[in-house]
Amino acid sequence: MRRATAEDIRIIIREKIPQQSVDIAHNSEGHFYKRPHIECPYPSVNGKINIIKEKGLMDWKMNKALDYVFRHIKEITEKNAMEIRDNAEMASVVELEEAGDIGTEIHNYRETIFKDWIRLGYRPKDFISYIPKDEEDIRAVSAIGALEKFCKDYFYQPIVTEQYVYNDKLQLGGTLDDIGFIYLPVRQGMHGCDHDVIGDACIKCELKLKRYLALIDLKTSNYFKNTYWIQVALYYYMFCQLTGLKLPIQMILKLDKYNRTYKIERLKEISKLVRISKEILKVSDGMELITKLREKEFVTI
Amino acid sequence: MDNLFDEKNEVKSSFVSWGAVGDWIKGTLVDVREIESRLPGKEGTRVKVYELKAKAGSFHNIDDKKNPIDPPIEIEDGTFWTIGGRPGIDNSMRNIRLGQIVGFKFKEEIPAKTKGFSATKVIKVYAGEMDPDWQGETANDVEMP
Repeated sequence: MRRATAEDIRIIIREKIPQQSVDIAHNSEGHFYKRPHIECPYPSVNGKINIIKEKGLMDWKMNKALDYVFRHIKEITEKNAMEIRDNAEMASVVELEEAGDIGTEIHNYRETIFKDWIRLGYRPKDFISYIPKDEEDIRAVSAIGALEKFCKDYFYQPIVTEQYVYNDKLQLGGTLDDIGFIYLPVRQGMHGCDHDVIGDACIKCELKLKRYLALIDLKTSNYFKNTYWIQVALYYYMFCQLTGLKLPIQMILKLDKYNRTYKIERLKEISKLVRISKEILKVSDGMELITKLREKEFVTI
Repeated sequence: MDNLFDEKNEVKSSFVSWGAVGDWIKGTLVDVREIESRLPGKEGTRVKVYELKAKAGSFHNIDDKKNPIDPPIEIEDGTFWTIGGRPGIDNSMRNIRLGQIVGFKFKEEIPAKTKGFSATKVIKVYAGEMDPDWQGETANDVEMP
């Protein structure tokens, strides 16, 4: 029996999650996923877990506002105090929006690179060349450079990218970033060897690698958040339920926007995380219900 | 005028010989042929030979007493080499396609159980990705100087 190839996995995914089984239905209120014959589109994972306010993020927003005030403290008068206050409130929003924009661009470049890679059957030689010259931003160059380094370090092979997933029982949808093969060492090679890996072993030393099917979630924000684990756990759950495939590795890949490095967080205790994530969805449903009930309960005494 | 039969004009065999454990070659499989074996006792039988457009490698030639000759031959990128088939290699190579990157390494020698017989050389085959740079060229396409 031969080992499953990337194309074998791709065929299974296409068969179990056909294109017409789910589509995006994003609007101004958020991201949604439409299933055929189901009237209400499903909310996205991020939309549902928004209920969790990350303390780190709230502190950061407050610090941004305070920074703004201190920078303009000598300008504050009775006349412009409200304007300064409003600008301080917006200081974090502007920076978040900018971060969101570059994050989206980096994700898009990654999608193009990986789709090309899948189509060609081999890794493109120069990832940075996928950034148009007139769109070159030092942050994008750094992040895509880091992505290329990750792919080389782990001999990554993409299988699918930007894959829609959904779950009818949870009434939830999402787009996971990447599914692919990564290779981890099972036997260390010779120190100082300039490894020449063919297949799953180095031809020059004893380095031996093992191939794993992995779910990778790409991040470009400046720090890791707890909610990322919930997001990835739910993608993992939906993907495995739909395809029947085992995903032994789930990771968050953070690409640095300034120094061409990357960091990885591998999720642990995935079954527990999935259970916790489902409970969080219930809390989110509960809060939505309360909001709806309160809308109806406006009584004048 | 140079003597054509001078030793320096001798065309060296482009066969890779597995002279010492650790000998290896990596390249793109460009051709698979069958030739008649010249091994004593196996004359007339057909054996497979695999032609590689090499990327790198290093191997030892052997002398009349089958001892490795130092220094090893360093294989240069872009040169063409032939690897003789044997059951272990042939089995692994069944799934390798033309244009695919492949590696061979002399892993170990297993002593013969029968006295007087040679040890078995274990050659490991490594299967890589398709070579994006290969355009279908073989050693026959190389222009001789």
